[in-house]
Amino acid sequence: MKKLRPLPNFSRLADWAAEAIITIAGLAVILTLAAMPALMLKEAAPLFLPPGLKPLGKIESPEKLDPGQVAALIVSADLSGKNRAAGLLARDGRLAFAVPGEGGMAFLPWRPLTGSAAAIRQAENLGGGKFSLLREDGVLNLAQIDLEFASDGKGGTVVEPAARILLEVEMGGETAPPLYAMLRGDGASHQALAVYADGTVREKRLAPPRGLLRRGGGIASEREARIRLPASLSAAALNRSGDTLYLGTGEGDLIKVDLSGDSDSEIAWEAVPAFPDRRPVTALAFLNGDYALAVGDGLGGTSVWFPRRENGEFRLRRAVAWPIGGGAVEAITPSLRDRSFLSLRRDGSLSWFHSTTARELLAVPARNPKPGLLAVSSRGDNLLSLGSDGNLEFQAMDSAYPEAGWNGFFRRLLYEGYERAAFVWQSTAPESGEPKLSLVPLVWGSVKAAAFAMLFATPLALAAAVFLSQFAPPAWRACLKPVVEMLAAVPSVVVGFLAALWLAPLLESRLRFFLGDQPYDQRNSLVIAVALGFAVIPNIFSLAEDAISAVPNSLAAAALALGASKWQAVRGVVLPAAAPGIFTAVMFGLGRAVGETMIVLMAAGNTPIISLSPYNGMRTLSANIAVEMPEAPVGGVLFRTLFLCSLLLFALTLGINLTAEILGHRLRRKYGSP
Amino acid sequence: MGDEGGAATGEAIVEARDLNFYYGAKQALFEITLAVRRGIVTALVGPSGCGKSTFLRCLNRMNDLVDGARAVGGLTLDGEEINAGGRDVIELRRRVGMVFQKPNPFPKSIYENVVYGLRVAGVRDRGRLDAACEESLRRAALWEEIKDRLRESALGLSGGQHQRLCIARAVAVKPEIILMDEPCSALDPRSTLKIEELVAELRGDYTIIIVTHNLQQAARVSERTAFFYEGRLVEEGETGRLFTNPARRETEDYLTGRFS
Amino acid sequence: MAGGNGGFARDGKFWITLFGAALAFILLMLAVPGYLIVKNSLAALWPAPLERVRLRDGGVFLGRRVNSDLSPGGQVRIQYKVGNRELNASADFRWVRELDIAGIDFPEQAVALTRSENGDFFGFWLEDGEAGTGRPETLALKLEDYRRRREAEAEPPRRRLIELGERWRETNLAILKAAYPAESPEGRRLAGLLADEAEIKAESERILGVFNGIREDFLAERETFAAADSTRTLLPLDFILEAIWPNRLGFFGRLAQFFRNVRGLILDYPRSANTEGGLFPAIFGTVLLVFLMAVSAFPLGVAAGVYIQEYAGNGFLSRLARVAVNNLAGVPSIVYGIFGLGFFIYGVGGGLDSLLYPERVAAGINTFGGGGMLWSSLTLGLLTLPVVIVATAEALATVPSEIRQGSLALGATRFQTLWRVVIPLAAPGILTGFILAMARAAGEVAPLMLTGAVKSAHLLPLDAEWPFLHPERKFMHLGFHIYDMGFQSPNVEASKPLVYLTALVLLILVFAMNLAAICLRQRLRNRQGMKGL
Repeated sequence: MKKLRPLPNFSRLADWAAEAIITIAGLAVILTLAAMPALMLKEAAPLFLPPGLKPLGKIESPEKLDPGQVAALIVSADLSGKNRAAGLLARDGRLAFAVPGEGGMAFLPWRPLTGSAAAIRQAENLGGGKFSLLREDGVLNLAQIDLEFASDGKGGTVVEPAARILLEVEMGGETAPPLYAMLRGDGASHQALAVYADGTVREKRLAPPRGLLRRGGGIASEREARIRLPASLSAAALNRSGDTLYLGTGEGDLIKVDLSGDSDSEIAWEAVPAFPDRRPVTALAFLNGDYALAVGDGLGGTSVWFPRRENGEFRLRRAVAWPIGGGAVEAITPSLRDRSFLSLRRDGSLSWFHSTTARELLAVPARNPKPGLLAVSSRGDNLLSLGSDGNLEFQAMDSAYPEAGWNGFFRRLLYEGYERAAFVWQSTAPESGEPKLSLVPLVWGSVKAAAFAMLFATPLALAAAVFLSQFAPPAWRACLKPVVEMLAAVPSVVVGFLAALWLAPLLESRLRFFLGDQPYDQRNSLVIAVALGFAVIPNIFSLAEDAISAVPNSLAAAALALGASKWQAVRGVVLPAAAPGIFTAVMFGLGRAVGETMIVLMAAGNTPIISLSPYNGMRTLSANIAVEMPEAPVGGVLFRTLFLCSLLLFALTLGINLTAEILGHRLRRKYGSP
Repeated sequence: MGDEGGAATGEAIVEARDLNFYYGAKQALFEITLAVRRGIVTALVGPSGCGKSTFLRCLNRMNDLVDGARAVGGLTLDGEEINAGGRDVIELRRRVGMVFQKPNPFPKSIYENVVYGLRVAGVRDRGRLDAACEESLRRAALWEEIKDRLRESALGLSGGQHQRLCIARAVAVKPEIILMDEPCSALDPRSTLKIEELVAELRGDYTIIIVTHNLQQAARVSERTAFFYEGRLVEEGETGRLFTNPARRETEDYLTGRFS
Repeated sequence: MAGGNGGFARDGKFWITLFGAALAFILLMLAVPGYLIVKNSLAALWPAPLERVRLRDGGVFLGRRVNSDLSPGGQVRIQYKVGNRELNASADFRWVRELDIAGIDFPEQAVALTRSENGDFFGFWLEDGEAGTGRPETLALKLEDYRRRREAEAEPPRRRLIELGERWRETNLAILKAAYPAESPEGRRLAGLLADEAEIKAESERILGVFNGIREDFLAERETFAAADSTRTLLPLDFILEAIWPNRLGFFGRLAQFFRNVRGLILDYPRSANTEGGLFPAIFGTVLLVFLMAVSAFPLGVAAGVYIQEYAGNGFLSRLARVAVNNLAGVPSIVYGIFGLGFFIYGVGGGLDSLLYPERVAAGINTFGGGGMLWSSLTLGLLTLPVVIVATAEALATVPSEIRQGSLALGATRFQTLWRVVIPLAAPGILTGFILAMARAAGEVAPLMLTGAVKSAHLLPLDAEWPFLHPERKFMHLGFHIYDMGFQSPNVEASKPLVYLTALVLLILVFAMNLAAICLRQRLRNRQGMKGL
């Protein structure tokens, strides 16, 4: 017989190749699976980053203007945030612009702002390049000052500043020009408001301009009110829509003037003593959203106020306050993007506050030269300040999701207009609504749904498992066990729709009789208990039945031989021996219940509330992701928060499963059968 | 220790020189020096855990499958070092076949079981495979019983037939040595007898090393016997002499059943 | 069991009975959904007779009985499908109390029309617009003739318009590509494409004009119908998809109609905002999804399982890998969905788009960077991977080590041992685990909501158009369909029958896969046990 040849190279090569392919495939798969939490972490982590202010550089101004001589700063940045431009509106009506050019920023020569010759007393940035200017002679101007970025055709950017007056309105009073005056309105109609030292508040509504009206044209209506001032006025703020005016006095009063209503209705007002120690109100500003008011006082303290419901009425109440110090608050500059704002004090220190989460995001200590005037770009990414030395400085602002973070997600917060602090999830707020991102109602929802489901499923599944394993004829086991396991094959979307469209109405019609007028949601925790329980029962049953059947017959036989009944043997010997397996089974069921999405999405009502009542529903972490994700703008705060929800869910289910395994092992070693 | 003279002589085909073997940190074989002679049946005996199986598995490097297994010392087949770095294990296992304690036929047909070793070696010629199958089954004294059932599953055979099938399978590859690790311990007495007859027939064409805890079996089938105890080779020599007149105290104690 | 002192408590009969009742209750729970779904599905497909119900208050309507129950006050109420959405203020169904019914009859002339808009119509056909309802055969002939003519005259321009529409889309994309980046258009080529575009537009407009004219003519062909309360309405023949006279059908007639309905369910496209029609695209999408998912998950899952069990050894890392894979099987499916969204769609898809179609990205068009069949099947494949890996590893572990050793001792390489002996032995376990994982994934909806399932897709991901498989297209899916129809639909009542039917089809699919797994396992076990290879 011939001897065998040595193994052909082909087979050896195949062996080596097979090992290589399998190893690569195996590692690739495992790495991809491991990438899951990594990706979620990457998307969610920025939510917790602290905000930052990064100095970007100074611009030497050729004519060093003292901040007192400057009415307003204008700052603008392009889409990338990397190219910036600045403007200075001096009180004497001159404009200076600093634009990017060869070798950095360059100052363009001063140019006048057309309009009346009187000096500018107040300037207010209305956004979109519009400014409301009050001149010393009582004339109100609406000015358009633009710093538009354009491509220079060579890959760089160039800025062409433009400025003009759009509107002029006479607001001079009988005796003196107004202390404060503001213009509001869109392109069609405008509203001019003036506040005089004697407490008179005068409102003029202007008809839509045709062409470019120059002087006081087309006053459609006028109204006036005389406020009894408890002390002299020290600050004023009018909101964007022009329907609410707040005034502050030198003795710590806040006066709310209601300008809503048409030109025939009366102007109502109400004074509230804000500070028991009667320290003066030195700065007022509306926060983004036009509802909350930031108040700076003479001792350097900052607070946020808004109307809250109290005994059925809305009253102006303080929501949050930060400590005093640093001298009087000189200016409050709100962000145009979120509920944060800057508070600048006399000593030059700056605080960046966020009202919803009641935090100080950043504290910038006083330094030389002191910043005297501030302006924030419309996209909230650039801060321009004019120092006491007359130079301009840019800083990059990164507020980094202030409404998120530990506070935003897990603390009880007092939201605008709410009666008291609460845990609220309400992501679909309107355009300027306050985002409410508390995860507590969602976690509560997951817990409640799982708890109800386990209460329903565990006794049933365990009882059935014990019965089938120990008390039923053996033939039943072979036949019925696969049948119960078939329950697991029913897709959860089918269970969910049956629960919502059949079970929920049925339950409601039957229970209404007993419950009468009690508040009752059709899709509630009882429905979830049955539906989610249905999905979880086969898992618990299967594992528990395996565990109980795995207990060696010898144990029960020993008990029986000693005269115990079958029931006593099972209860006293078999079940304790199977306890580790039963425990593991229940835990795996719990893990499944926590992670289930479709059933809760369809049958739980999807309202994120915190309640113990079985008659209302809930929204779970999983359902939340499914419902919110399709509409969430990529990279935004909601998007990232949903990744955080996913991470939480992942950690939760992983934790439950690992606990089940580890504890199962330990229990098995301690109590398991030999 | 070695012993010359006696009825069965032949050149050494496998030689161990001061062979030490470790499972991780635990040492299982101590300074084994033993020469196995060609063409005869050598029995390895000793109490449980004495290292005889370990030594056996060194010869076809099946110990490689265990994590942390390590051999230190000389072990040669036909003069070539078995544990040398570049040594082709596949080649070695073709030359040194093995029959296991628990019969392990593959869940394939009888035919496919027997020709398995040839197939993995790359033999595809049907004629060659058929011839090898018949010859191996004949040598294993199984041909007449199952020649009509070659395409049926091997799992349908009886226990004794399983082991003979495994022997046929090992023989088909034409090894020089056949290692047998307690091949009869899972079988009934009748099958055991058949296997022992088979061993007697295969001797001469093959060198057989058989590990057994059954002293009577060792006496029946082997020409030379080696006695292992606690990882050491205590005594080795011609079977008849070793059983009737052991040179060492431990050997005598074991043979007389003082410990087992 | 021994009785005697303390017998009852000792025997625990109470508890045993209770536990038995628990098992019975669970089995009942399984029966209830099955019963409901089958009952409602059959009711939706079986052509029930049309009842003319006269109410005591004088009202009258034609309807098909759908349901009955006890109202909260304890009276029997019956639910009818009354159709005629445009005449009934969009209410397809109505409940009447049994007491309020004065009389019911089954007029033979009552016709049920299936329409392409506004759902079903129940009424009488007035031939030549006058009383004296016409003969069914006449209407059937009219419809046939109408369709034949439409096919001959209106189809060709319609098809040409669709073709032109496709070419328009392609040309636009090509223009985007040629005109990108903004600063360097490829002069001549762009000019050529723009010319193409103009040409397509011109021809489209011309044909559209012709087509609209034809269509108007066809739509003008109408017949008069009357509802039960004698309200008349003119219905264009174009809208009538099927006309049957249910009260004239004998049992076999009904059976035939039943099978026609089943056929329609499987082969037709949905109509009327997913409240009527068939499930073809959803069935197709689900099956294709499962297939693609299987193709991606099987080789990778088995390879990874083989790696973990056979090649990875027992070091810390490989034990960690095992634990990780084991636990990943328990991670909720929505987490996989969000990973699919972040990694596949925005990550890989976005990257592919930036690489291959930067001009489309600049115009805001997503090709791979949005949801689609490809990403959905990969995401679901990922979902099933841990289960397949674990099933493979466990199946491999059950192969006795002496079989492995036997093979190695005969001089086989590791791979030969795996390929020839170990994997065939483990195959039943591997395949069973694989198919069960697929069956589970076929019913998953949550990840699909994020990765590409949509309520309505007019193009299939696999069709006769090159390159035949369009993995970037969005698709319809049975499970998603159930969710969408049941919860996002403006007319949930009307969608209900179709929801039940969709659930039935999905259940059949899932159970078929489960059954296939069990049969396959049985067969493979038999093959190995009894016969040779």
